[in-house]
Amino acid sequence: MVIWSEKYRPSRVEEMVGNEQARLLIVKWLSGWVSGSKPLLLVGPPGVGKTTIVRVLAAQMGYDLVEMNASDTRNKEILQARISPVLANTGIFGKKILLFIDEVDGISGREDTGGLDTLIDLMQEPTVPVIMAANTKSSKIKDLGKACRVVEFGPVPDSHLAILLNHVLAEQKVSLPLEDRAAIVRTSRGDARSMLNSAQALASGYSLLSARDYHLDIADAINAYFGSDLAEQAREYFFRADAAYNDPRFGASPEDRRKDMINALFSSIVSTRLKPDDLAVLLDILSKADVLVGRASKNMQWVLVRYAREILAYRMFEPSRRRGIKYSQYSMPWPLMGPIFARARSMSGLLTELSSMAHTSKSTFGSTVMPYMVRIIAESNAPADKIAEELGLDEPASQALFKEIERTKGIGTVTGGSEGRRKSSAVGDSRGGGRRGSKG
Amino acid sequence: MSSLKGDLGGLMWSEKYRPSRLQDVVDQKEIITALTSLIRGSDVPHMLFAGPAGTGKTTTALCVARELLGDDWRRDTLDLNASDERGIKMVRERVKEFASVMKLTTDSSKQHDRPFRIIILDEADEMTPDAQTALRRIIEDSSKTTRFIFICNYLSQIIEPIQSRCAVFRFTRLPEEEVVDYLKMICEKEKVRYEERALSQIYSATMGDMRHSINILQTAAGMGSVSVATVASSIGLSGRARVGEVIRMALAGRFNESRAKLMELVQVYGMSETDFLRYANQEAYEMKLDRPDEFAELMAEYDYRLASGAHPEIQLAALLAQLGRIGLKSREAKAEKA
Repeated sequence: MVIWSEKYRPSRVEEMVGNEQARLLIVKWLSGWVSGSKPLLLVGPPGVGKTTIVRVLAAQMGYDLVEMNASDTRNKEILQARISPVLANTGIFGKKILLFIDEVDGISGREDTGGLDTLIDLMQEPTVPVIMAANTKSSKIKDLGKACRVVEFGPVPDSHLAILLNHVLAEQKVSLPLEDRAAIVRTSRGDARSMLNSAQALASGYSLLSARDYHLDIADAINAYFGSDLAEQAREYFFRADAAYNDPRFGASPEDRRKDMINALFSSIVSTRLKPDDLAVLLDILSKADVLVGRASKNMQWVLVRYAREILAYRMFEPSRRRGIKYSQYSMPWPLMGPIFARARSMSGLLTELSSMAHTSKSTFGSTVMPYMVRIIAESNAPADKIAEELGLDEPASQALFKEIERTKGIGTVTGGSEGRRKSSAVGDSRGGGRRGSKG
Repeated sequence: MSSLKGDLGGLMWSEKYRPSRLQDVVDQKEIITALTSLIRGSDVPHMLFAGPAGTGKTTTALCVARELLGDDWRRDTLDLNASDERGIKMVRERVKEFASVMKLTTDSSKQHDRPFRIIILDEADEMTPDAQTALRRIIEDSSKTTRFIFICNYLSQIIEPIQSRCAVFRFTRLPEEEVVDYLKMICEKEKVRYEERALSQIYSATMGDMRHSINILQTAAGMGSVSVATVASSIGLSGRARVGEVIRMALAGRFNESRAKLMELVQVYGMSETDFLRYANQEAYEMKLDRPDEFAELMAEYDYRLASGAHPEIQLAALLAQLGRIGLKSREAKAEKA
């Protein structure tokens, strides 16, 4: 696997982000370099482009880069043995040499005995351009600093990092929710390399982010859960969803409803065209989890919610991979649901009134009285407004009744229709046939 | 409240022909005899009526109220349906409110010998055990002045402490000839032509539910006469027939259509989930499925989940999806055989 921070290391100075002043200074220094020029000491936090600019410039300006870093032992002898030939052999190979000594603040006082002093000695009037880099201007390298021209690097601004991140993600064809991206940028503290590492880790399933406890919007979490190929990563998204698990029948605001995980999963699943088997399996898992949620709400056994979450995150993974499930807030397309809801709203008051007159529950009235009553009125051609008045219905209830009567007349027959037509009207609902038909 | 209520009697025969005196209640002879002597006595108990739909429980309760309280019975009767009052809170508040108002008015309403009011709590078995337990206390606190009549389909769903505080009456399914005779009587009074066979057909479709039977009769009559054809198309209007349609759609794999239809039943017609399952069972029984055992197992499982889950809509949709799988399996099995 290619490490993104290496893969996307800039190959030209102008591709780099942040520290424009420092970069300009270095370019000017190298292009104006003459034998004996003071070496450069780049000081700045990790991941801001110190190493990168040296490599990029060497390539762009035709230098052979000789690199030394903290992994090499750098005591007096070794430094002399390695640096001296470089300084002496300049020009012999026909190519200019650029010496880069990284992490000079890592030269250890004990193990690299005399290392720094040797370095300072060697840096007096060097015969090739020398650049060194350090993270901090520690007292250890104070003397070295005096022998060099110090260039300070700062953290890369978040706005620049965000641009870089978006570019890399686009190249990798990876999509991360905005909240994830913002968190990656925020937690990398100006370090482009660390940012790319985090992004790659997150995209491949391991969250190295320092702020692990932040929440994802439920839509992003669900999309990420269903979109991810790695189980562990998918679950991570699932668990980080800003979601609620409770009984929506006990006074839920629209916002609560949106955060209702069971509901959100349901509407997402049923809005996707799935094979009957997949659908049955997924909804069965959801239904089981819902039982736990219901029991948790009823008995205040909130620990059950945790099991529900885990059952969902683990069991749904396998049967929902690559099924194209996307977040959907509504369980039915609005053109289908809208008219039902509108009717339900107007019918509700009417049903309450009428069922109490008939001393039944609304459910019984709706099943064994209402459909007949509407049909009887429609068939009789009696003036509906008079009936509503006799029943003592208020205005909204009357309107609802009129609508149902009109609807019945529209569907089926007033006296004299053929039996076949009656049958189909009894089955109901062919008014707005286009609406129904379009659902497929 | 009840005084403002309109009357369905002018419109629906099922209300017009609802008996208003105990002696006119169809069948249930033993119950009527027992009740008649009971309410003549000095100490009227709380009552509990259990039995299938349309057997006269509510009618009997209303008759009892009328005979106990006289002409003003409506003012002193609170008629609540537990399945509509979603939480126990509503029931408790309304019952408590009613009970407290009553205490103030008992003295001034001395025109009746019996200084009490009646609370009819219909579909009491829809109440959770917790809600029923809460009611126990209310029954006791208001027992000096209030009599409760509980009505339910299933006695087993009523907690023991309530059962033990009541005189329990079990209503039985009405026999076919009683229902058919009553329907004939209506036809004659309304001057409607009818076929004998059509009346039997009504009885078997409603399983003896009198209100439902009369509604079908009236609808068929509205189409001209009560014939096998008009009855058949009237039956198709019922909630149960629509549930059958939902089940058939689901079995055929038309998941989204079945869901839309179900949503219409629940949202527009106020069908409760328990009614849905009950009708689904009845319809499935008549569909002659390949594997009725599988269907029953599924229904039992989802009945349980519906009762304990938090999202009834989701539980029912999940059930429809399982039906889709059953339907697919049976089609595949048939294709293999062929």
